[in-house]
Amino acid sequence: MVGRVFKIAAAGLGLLALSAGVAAAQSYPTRNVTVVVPFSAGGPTDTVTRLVAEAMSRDLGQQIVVENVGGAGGTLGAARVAKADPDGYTLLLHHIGMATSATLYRKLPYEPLNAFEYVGLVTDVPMVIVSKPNWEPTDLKSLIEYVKANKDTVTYANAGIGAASHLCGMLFMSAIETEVTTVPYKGTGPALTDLMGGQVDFMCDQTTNTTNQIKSGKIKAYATTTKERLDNLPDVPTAAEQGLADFQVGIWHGLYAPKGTPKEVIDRLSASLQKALKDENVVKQFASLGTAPSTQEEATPAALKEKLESEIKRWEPVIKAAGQYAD
Amino acid sequence: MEIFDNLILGMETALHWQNILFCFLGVLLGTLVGVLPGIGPTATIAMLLPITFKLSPETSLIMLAGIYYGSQYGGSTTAILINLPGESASAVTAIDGYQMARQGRAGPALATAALGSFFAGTVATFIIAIFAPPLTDIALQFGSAEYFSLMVLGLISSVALAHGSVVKAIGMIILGLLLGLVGTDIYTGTPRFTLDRLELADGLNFVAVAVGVFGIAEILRNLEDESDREIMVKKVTGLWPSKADFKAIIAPIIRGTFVGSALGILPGGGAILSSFAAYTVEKKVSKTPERFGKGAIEGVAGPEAANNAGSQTSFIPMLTLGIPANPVMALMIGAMIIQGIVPGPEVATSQPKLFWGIIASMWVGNLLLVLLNLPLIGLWVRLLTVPYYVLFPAILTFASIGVYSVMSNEFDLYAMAAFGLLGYILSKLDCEPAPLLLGFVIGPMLEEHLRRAMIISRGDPMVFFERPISAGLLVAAALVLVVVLLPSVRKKRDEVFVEED
Amino acid sequence: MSINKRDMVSGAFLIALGLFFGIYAYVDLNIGSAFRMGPGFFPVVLSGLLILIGIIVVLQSLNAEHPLMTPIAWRGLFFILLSPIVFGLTIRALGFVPAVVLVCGISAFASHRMGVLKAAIITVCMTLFCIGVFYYALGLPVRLFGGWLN
Repeated sequence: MVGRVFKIAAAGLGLLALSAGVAAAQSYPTRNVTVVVPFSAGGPTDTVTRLVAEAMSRDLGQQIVVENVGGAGGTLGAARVAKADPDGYTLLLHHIGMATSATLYRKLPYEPLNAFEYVGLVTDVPMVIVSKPNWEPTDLKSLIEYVKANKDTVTYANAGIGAASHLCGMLFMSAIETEVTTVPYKGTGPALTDLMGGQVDFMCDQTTNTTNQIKSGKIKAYATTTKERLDNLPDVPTAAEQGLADFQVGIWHGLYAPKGTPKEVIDRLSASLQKALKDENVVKQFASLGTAPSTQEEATPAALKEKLESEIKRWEPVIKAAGQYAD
Repeated sequence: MEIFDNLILGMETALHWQNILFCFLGVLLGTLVGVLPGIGPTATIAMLLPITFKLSPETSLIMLAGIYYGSQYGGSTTAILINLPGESASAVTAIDGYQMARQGRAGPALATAALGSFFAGTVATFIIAIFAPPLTDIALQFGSAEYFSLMVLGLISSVALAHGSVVKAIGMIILGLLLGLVGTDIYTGTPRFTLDRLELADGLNFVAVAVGVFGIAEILRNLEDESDREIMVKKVTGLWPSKADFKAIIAPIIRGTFVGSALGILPGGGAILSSFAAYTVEKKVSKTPERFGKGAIEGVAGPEAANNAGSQTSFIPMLTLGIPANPVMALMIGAMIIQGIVPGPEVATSQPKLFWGIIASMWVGNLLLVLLNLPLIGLWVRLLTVPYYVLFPAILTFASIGVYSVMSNEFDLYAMAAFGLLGYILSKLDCEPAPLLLGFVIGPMLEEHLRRAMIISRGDPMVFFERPISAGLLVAAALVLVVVLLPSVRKKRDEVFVEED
Repeated sequence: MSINKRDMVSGAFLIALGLFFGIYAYVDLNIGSAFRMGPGFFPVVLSGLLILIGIIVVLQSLNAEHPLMTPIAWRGLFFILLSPIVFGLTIRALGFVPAVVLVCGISAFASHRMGVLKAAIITVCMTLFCIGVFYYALGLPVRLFGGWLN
C-alpha cells in the first residue's frame, strides 16, 4: 500500500534516468546483492545457495546476502522477488518447485512464466528410491512386484505436498500404475527418521538428504533417478537399468531475477554464475552433497527458461491426475 | 575404557586455544543477541551463521554450539527480567522467574538458571558420550502412535501449569491448540483458518505469538496505572541465591536434568516438552504447590535444567542419524555441510576428532556460559532499575526487529500486535497465557501424529493401545489426569465453603 | 445473587471463540469421519470442547464474587499496538532506520510520563544502537533506507 506509492514514484524517477541506466548497469553491482531462498535456513536449497553465493561474491566484488523467506512451498519467497525492484539487487534461487507450484497452487500471487528474468541453472540434484532397512524386496524389479501385490498395506513417505519426494512418488506411482497409501511428513527429516525406524516402507528423495544414511546401512537404496550411475553411490543401479525407462527426476535449481531487470545486469550475473560453478570449492562441496554443478551451457538464461517451461508442461498432467493441490 | 579415550581426544580438541576462544565468542554473542527480546535461538543462529564460515569445521561447529547455548540462556534472561520469552522453553521460565524479578529476586533467579543449566549440561554430556547409540535405537522405536500418546501426556500434565482456575487453563490449552492449527493441513494441502492470506499458509509465527501474548500484554499491564512507583522502578534485593535457595534447588535441578535428557533424545520434538514437563513434576512433587506462579524458585530451577539437558541431548539424533530434531539443528547441519561434512551415522567413526570435539566442547561451552553470565547478573539486574517508561520503547523496538528477523515477513508484526491485544484481553479476564502457548506448540504435532498413526494403521484406533510404549504413555496420562483433577476438586470445595462464610 | 462479571465475560469470550473456529471449520473444511479424518475434524472437535468449557466458566461465574478490576490502559493500547504495525508497514517501503525511529518514537508515547524531548533522546539512542548491532554487527538483511528514500 504505502510501499506501492513509493515504488511507482521510484519507477517514474527511474524512467527519467534511463540515459544513465546503461552506465549504471556497467558499474553493477555497487552494493550488496540479496538472494532470496524460499525455504528455511539449513536445508539443502539453502546450502546450495550459500555455496554458490560465496563464490559469486568473490567474482562480483560485492557481498551476496542470503535471505530466507520460507513458506507455502516456496511461493512466498518467489512472490517477494517477483514484486521487488528489477535492479539486480534482489534475486531468487528456487528449485523444481518453481515449475510445480504453477499447477499445485491454483491461486498464485505472481505469473510463473512472466514474473521473472532467467539467469541460469545452478545444479540438478538426483533422487534415490530408498526403503526401511529390513524390507523384503531386493531390487527395483522385486520392489515393483511387491508393491503391486501388497498395495493395500505398503506405505510411501513424503515430505509434504510440493516436496521433491511428493513429486517423485506421484511419478513413480503413475509409472507402475499402482496407488499406495501416502504418508506425508513435515519435511524430509521426520520422514527419514520414521523410515529408519521402520514405521513406513519406502520413499524417494534427494541424494543430499539420503547419501549418508545409505552408506551407513540405515536405509536401503534401490535405484537412482538418473541416466547413469552416481559417482558416490556406485553400487546403486539406475531406474533405467532395471527396466523403469523414462523415470528421470532431478531437483533442478535455478537463479532468477525480477522481470524487467536490465539485460546487462542479467548477463553479468550469468557470467558470474558460470564462474562460480567452476570454482574448486563449489565443485568439491557439491560432490560431497551428491550433486554436481550445472554445465556452462546450462547456466544461461535461455537454458533455464527452457527448463522451466518444459518442466511446467511435464508436471502439469501428473499433478492434475493425482488431484492433490496445495490450496 | 574407550569412552574415556574418546572424551580425552575430544577434550584435546575442545581445549585447543582457538576452539576455546571461539567457543567463548559464540557464547558471548549468543547471550547478547539472545537477550534482545523477541530474538530466540533460531533467529540468533541464523543471523550469526555467516561468521562461522571462515573457520575450520571443528571450530565453527564449536562456535555454533556456543551461540546456541548462549542464546538459550539469553532468552531465559529476558524471560525472567521482562516476561518476554524467545522460544517455548523460556516461556515456562517466565512463569515463576518473572514473578521472582518483580519481588526483587531477579539475581537469584538468573543465578539458578545458570547453575541449573550448567549441572544439566554436564550430566547430559556424559549421557551423550556413553549412551548415544543405544538411545538412538530407542528413539527410533517411537512412531507416530508413541508421539501422540506422549503429547497427550504432556497436555494433561500442563494443566498443572495453571495457578488459577483449572477450567480456564484447559480453555486456554484448547484455544492454543486451535491457534496452532492455523495454516496448511499437511495431509490434504487445504488451508485452515488462513483468511485467504498466503502468509498464514505456514501457520502463525511462534515468536509473534509469544512476544505478543507475554511481552506486549505485560507492558500494557504495567501501563495501566503509572502512578504506582513500584512497577516503574524495580527494587533489587541481593544478587546471589540464599542458603535456603540453594537447598531448595538441588532436587529440582536433578529431576529436571533427567526429564530433559529423556525427552531431548526423541527426534520428533520431545525437547519442547522438557521444560513444561519439569515444571509439572516440580509442582506436583512440592509440598507447597500454591507458591508456583508467584515466584517459586523450583519453578525456575527444574525447567531450566530440563531445557538445557534437552537441548544437549537433542544433538544425538543429529550426530548419530544426521537428522535435525529442530530448526536449530537443521541450521547446524547446513553449516556442517557447507564446511564439507555431511552429518550422519559414520561421522563418529570417520571424523572422531570432530565428533568427540563437539561433545567435549558442549561441556566447555556450558562452563564458559556460567563463567560469563554469573558476573553479568549484576549488570542485568541494574538494567531493571532503569525507569520503565524508558525501557519499554526499547523492548518494543527489539521485539519488532526480532520478530521480523525470523522470516523477513512484515505480516508477523501485525500478528504480534494482534496477539498483544489478545494477551491483554486474556490477562484482564484472568486467563493465563502459558497453557495457551503450550497448546499452540503441541497442537499441530498432536494432530499430525494422530492422523499419521491412523493412516498407517489403516484407521484402526486400537493401535495406540496395541503398541507397548504408546499404551504405557496413555496409562501414565490417565494417572496424571486423576492426580491433577483430585486436588482441584478438593480445592473447589474449600473455596465454596470459604465464600459461603 | 452476585455474579463474577469478569468470569462471565471470560466464559462468553471462550464461547465466542469456539463458535468462530467451529463455524469457520465447518463451513470451510471437509470434516471426514473419525476413521478418515478430514482437515476439519480436529478443529470442529476442539471448538466444541472450547464452547463447553466456556459454558462451564459462565456457570461457575454465577453465585461468585466479582473481583477488583484494574483500569484498562487505553492510551498504552493505542500506541503500543500501533508501533509494530507501523514498523511492518514501513520496514521495506522506507527502510530500517525510519522504521526503528517510528516504532521507538510511537511506542514511547504510550506512557503518560513521556515528553517530546525524552522521546527524541530515547529514539535517537535506540536508532544508533540498532543500526550498529543489527545492520553492521549481525548483518541483518534489511535496507537502511529503502524504496522511495533510496
